[in-house]
Amino acid sequence: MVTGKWELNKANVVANEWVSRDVKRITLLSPGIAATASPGQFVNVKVNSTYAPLLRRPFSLNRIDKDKGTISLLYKLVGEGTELMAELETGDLLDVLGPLGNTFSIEEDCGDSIFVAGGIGVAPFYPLARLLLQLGQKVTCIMGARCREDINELDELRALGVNVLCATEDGSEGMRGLVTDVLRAHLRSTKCSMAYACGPNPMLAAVKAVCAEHQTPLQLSLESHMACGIGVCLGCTCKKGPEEGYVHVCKEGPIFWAEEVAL
Amino acid sequence: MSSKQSAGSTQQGISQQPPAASGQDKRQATSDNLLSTNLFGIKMNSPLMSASGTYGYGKEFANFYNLSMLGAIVVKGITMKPRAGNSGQRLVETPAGLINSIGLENPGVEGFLVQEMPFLRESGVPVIVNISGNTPEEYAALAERLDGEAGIHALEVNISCPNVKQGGMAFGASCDMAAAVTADVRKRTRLPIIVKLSPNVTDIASIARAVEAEGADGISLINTLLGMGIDIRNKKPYLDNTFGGLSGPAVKPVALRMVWQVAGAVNIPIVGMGGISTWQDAVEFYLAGASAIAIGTANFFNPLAVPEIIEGVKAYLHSEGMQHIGELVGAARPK
Ligand SMILES: Cc1cc2nc3c(=O)[nH]c(=O)nc-3n(C[C@H](O)[C@H](O)[C@H](O)COP(=O)(O)OP(=O)(O)OC[C@H]3O[C@@H](n4cnc5c(N)ncnc54)[C@H](O)[C@@H]3O)c2cc1C
Ligand SMILES: Cc1cc2nc3c(=O)[nH]c(=O)nc-3n(C[C@H](O)[C@H](O)[C@H](O)COP(=O)(O)O)c2cc1C
Repeated sequence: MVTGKWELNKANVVANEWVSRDVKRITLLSPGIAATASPGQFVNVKVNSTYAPLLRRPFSLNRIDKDKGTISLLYKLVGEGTELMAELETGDLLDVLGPLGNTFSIEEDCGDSIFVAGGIGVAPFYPLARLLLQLGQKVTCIMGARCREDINELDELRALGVNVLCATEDGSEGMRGLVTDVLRAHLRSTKCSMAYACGPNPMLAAVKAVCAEHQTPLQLSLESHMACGIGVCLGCTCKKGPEEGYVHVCKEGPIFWAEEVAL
Repeated sequence: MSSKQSAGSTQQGISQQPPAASGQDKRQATSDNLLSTNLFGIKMNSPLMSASGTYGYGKEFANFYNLSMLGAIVVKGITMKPRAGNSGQRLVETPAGLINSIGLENPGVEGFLVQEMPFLRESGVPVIVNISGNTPEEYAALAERLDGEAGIHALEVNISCPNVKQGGMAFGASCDMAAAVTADVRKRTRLPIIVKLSPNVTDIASIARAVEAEGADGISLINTLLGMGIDIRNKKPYLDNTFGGLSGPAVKPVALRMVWQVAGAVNIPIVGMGGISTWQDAVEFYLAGASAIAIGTANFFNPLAVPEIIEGVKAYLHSEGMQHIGELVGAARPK
C-alpha cells in the first residue's frame, strides 16, 4: 500500500452486485481513498494482474463512505475490462489507484442545482447530491436512458431527497424524449444557480447549449481514453474552449466548466 | 548536484566497479553498491531510468516512492517552442500494448526550465533531457540552450518520434540524417549525448554505427514501433494521424533483438527499453548488452514498476552470486 496524495492499494471487494441488466456496483474497502476523496473524483483500477487488458480502467466514485472506509463504483459492462470486473467476488482483491482528478465545484450559498445524467453518467452524482443536500440546497436530477431497464439509481437518489425526472427514448419511464427537452422545460420554470452534467459527449454538447441559453453555469464530468490517470502520459485530452490547445481529463479534470472545453 | 559534474565530461562507458562510497554525496546515502553505476560520466544509483514521455517530469511518481533509486529521470520530449500535441483520440490499447499519438506535447524549452527544472534539481536525481526538432539546426540550438543549465546531466536526442509530421522519425531513418543531427548537436554542447534510435528501420546496426562515429556518448533504443488501429464501427483509423507508436510488453522481443544487434555493432553504452515490465524483462536487456535500461509504458499500468524491478534485479544478482550489476551486462553474448 502506498499513501500520499494518491493511494495505491489492493482493496478488498466488499460487494459486487447487479444494479440493472448491464450495470453493476462494486464496493471496495479502501479507507485511505475514502478518507480523502470528494465528489467528482475517480479511481483507476487494474482489473487483473495480466497484460490482458494491459491498462487500468477509470471509474468515477459512486459512493464515498468515510465511516465504513469504503468506496463504490457503478460500472456498465462494455468490454473486456468491465466484464472481468463483473466476475470479482466478495473477498477478492482489486488493484485501485486514487482518488484522482479534481472535484465538482460547490458554492455554499447556492440556490437550486440541476444534474443531467446520460446513461451510466449518473455514476458520480450520488455523492454530490448528498453533499449539496447537506448544505440545504434543492437538487433536481434529470436522467436519460433508452428505456426504463437502463435507468440506475432512481430510488437511491429519490431516497436522498433528490427530485428525479426521467426521459426515455421509448417513454417507458418519465417523459418520452431527450434529457435536453426536460432540461429546457425545467430551466424555463425554475431558476437554477448551478448545473452539472455527465454522459456521452453529444449529450453534453446539447446540455451546454441549453444551459448557455439560460445563463446557467455548467460543470461537466468528461471521459477520454486514458492510460496513467495521473497526468504523465498526456493521452486523455479534450479540446479547449475558445483557446487553442487541449486539457487533460485526468489532471485538469475530469470536471470542467462548460466554457473551458469544446465538445 | 550541479551541472559541473557532467558538463564537459567526456568519460564514456560503464564502470564495472561500484564507485567508492563518498558519504558526502546525498545520493550515495541511499545508493546500493550492487547497482550504483557510472554512466556517461554521471554517478547513478542504479542503471535504471524512466523512459521519456512515460514519466512526465518526475513529480507524480514522487507520490509513490523515493525517486533517488533511479539512475536518471529522462523527461518528456522537449522542443524549442511549446507544442499543444496532436488532435483527436491519442491512445489505442492493443493486446499487451499501447499505441500513442501524443505529438510531443510540451511547454517548450523555456517553459520546461522555469516550470519543471526546480523540482527536478531539488530531487537530486540526474536529469536527462529528451530533445526534438524539425531541423538539425533546431536540435543543435536546443542542445546549446541546455548546455550549462544546472541539474541537467545529459541529452537524449530523439530522432525517432513517430508522432510529428516533420523531423522526428525521419532523422532516425537514414544513416546520413542520423549522423548529421548527431554531428550538429555534438558541436554545440558539452553535455553527454545519447541518441535515441527508431526501430522502424531495416538496419539498426548501421545507424548506431553512424551516430557513434559522430561522437554520440550513448545510444538508447527502442522508441515506439509504427502501428495503427481502425475503428470498425466508424470505419476510420482511430488516430487523426493514422499511425502512432506502439509500446508496452508487445514490443519487447523486437526491442531486445535490436539491443542485441546494436550491442554487437558499437562500443558506446546502450540504454535499452521497449516493453520492460518486470525484473525478468530487465535482466534480459542487461544480458543482451544494455548498460542501463528504461521503464516506459509499465509506469502507466503499474506505478510501482520502478521499485519492483529494482528489487527484483537486486534479488536476482544475489541469487546468482554477483557482486555488481556490471557483471550482467552483455553476459548472454557470445564471448
Ligand atoms: C474519468 C472517467 C470516469 C469514468 N467513470 C465511469 C463510471 O463511473 N462508470 C462506467 O461504467 N464507466 C466509466 N468510465 C468509462 C470506463 O472507463 C470505460 O467504460 C471502461 O474503461 C471500459 O473498459 P472495458 O475494458 O470494459 O472496455 P473496452 O473494451 O476498453 O472498451 C469498450 C468500449 O468503450 C470505449 N472506451 C473505453 N475506454 C473509454 C474511455 N475511457 N472513455 C470513453 N470510451 C471508452 C472503447 O472505445 C470501446 O468502444 C469513465 C471514464 C473516465 C475517463
Ligand atoms: C505516451 C508515450 C509518450 C512518449 N513520448 C516520448 C517522447 O516524448 N520522446 C521519446 O523519445 N520517446 C517517447 N516515448 C517512447 C518511450 O520513451 C519508449 O521509447 C517506448 O515507449 C518503448 O518503451 P516501453 O515499451 O517501455 O514504453 C513515448 C512513449 C509513450 C507510450
